Amino acid sequence: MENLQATKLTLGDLIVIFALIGIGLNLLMGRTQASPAQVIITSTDRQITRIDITEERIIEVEGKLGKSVIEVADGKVRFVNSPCPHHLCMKRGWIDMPGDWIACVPNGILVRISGESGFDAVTP
Amino acid sequence: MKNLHFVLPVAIVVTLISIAFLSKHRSQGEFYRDSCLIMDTVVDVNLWGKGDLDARSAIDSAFVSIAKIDSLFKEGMVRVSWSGREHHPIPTREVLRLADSLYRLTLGAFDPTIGSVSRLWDFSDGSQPPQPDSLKAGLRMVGLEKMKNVPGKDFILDVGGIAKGYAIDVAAEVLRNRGFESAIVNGGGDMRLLGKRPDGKPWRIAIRDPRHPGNLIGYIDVEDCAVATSGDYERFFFYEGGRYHHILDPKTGMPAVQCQSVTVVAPTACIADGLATGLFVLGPRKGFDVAKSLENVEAIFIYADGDSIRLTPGIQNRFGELASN
Repeated sequence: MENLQATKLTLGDLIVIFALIGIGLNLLMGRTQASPAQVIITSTDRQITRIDITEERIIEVEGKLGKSVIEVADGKVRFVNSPCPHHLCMKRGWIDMPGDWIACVPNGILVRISGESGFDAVTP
Repeated sequence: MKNLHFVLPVAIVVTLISIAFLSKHRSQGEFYRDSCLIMDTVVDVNLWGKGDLDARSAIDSAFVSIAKIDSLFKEGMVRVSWSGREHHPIPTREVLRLADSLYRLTLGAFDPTIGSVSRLWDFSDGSQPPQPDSLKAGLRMVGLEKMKNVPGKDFILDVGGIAKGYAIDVAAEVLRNRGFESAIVNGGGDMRLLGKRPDGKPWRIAIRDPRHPGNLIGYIDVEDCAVATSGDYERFFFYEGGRYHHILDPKTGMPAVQCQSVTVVAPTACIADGLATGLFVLGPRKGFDVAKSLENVEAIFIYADGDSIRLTPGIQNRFGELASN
């Protein structure tokens, strides 16, 4: 320590120092590379289906009243059909915001897009 | 690469700052979230805690407390007489007491006795408004003052909305009593916010665009309060070119027409929910005056034309507009 000025650091040393700090921070914070959002479909029996939101898929999910039909396309998701009386889930239309959800409560099916919207909550 | 003697101290300082940042981040606790389909909606409980077992157990207790209250208000309606209300369980009595307060605060625009009219409406696709005769008959049983004047007669009270708010409040208190200071109990967009965000900043709550629910019109920064929105876009149908939604004016029994949505910030979710309904019925002029006169209450009105927004003075500096996407 008495002759700190004699330390000769190369450009490589600098890169290594800052890379190590960056990697350490990432590991400690538990951050990972951003991956495409997923559509997470939960049915009454807590069965969970995950679909990459970039896929083009129509999926049938069995609920309390019958089958709900859910469409994933163009980075969005919606209920196409559901055996509920008021079809509030279908009226909601497409959603594409991370963290947003649509539920068919009578049929016990919840569709959520993974990730965070940047807000703590959305009303209503 | 000569004279790089400053690099080592800089690296040490950066590392120390990083450690300090991380230690602050860790002191905020871990984030826990669970969801449940209950009360005809999705209830999310978000909290920040330091022990996995404590947090999960607290979330479970919050859901149990909601389920208990939900079982009392399963249909959203309660048939009760003014004199007979004391024989009901404590949560029902408490909701009726709050309904009475909300009736007075909103000059009768929130009226729980609307139940005898709202049960005549069906908001499924392809529905029609009730026949004028049945609407007229239903309206004879609307009016909290009437109910008080005929204490032994049963009235049908529509308390589904404020009962949901009450359940959210009870669940939030369960979390607070367990020592959690940063938490959100969110029942389908009507929510109670405990404390502040774990980083010390206020909660940032986004508001949906009533005509394009996939878009957001703005956000508010708030802390230790409740937020609720009444909008005309969740339950509605079209009939002969008219749009009929579920927020009914107790004077006419017909949908209130002056707003697309009203968002209310209030101390509890039950009050916020009831006020949002009442202020929606009153509209952006009269409702604005009522909201402005109430302590610890703020409101955001989106007019029926969808082009104008009116905010009470106390929320103006905490509102941020978002460009529609």
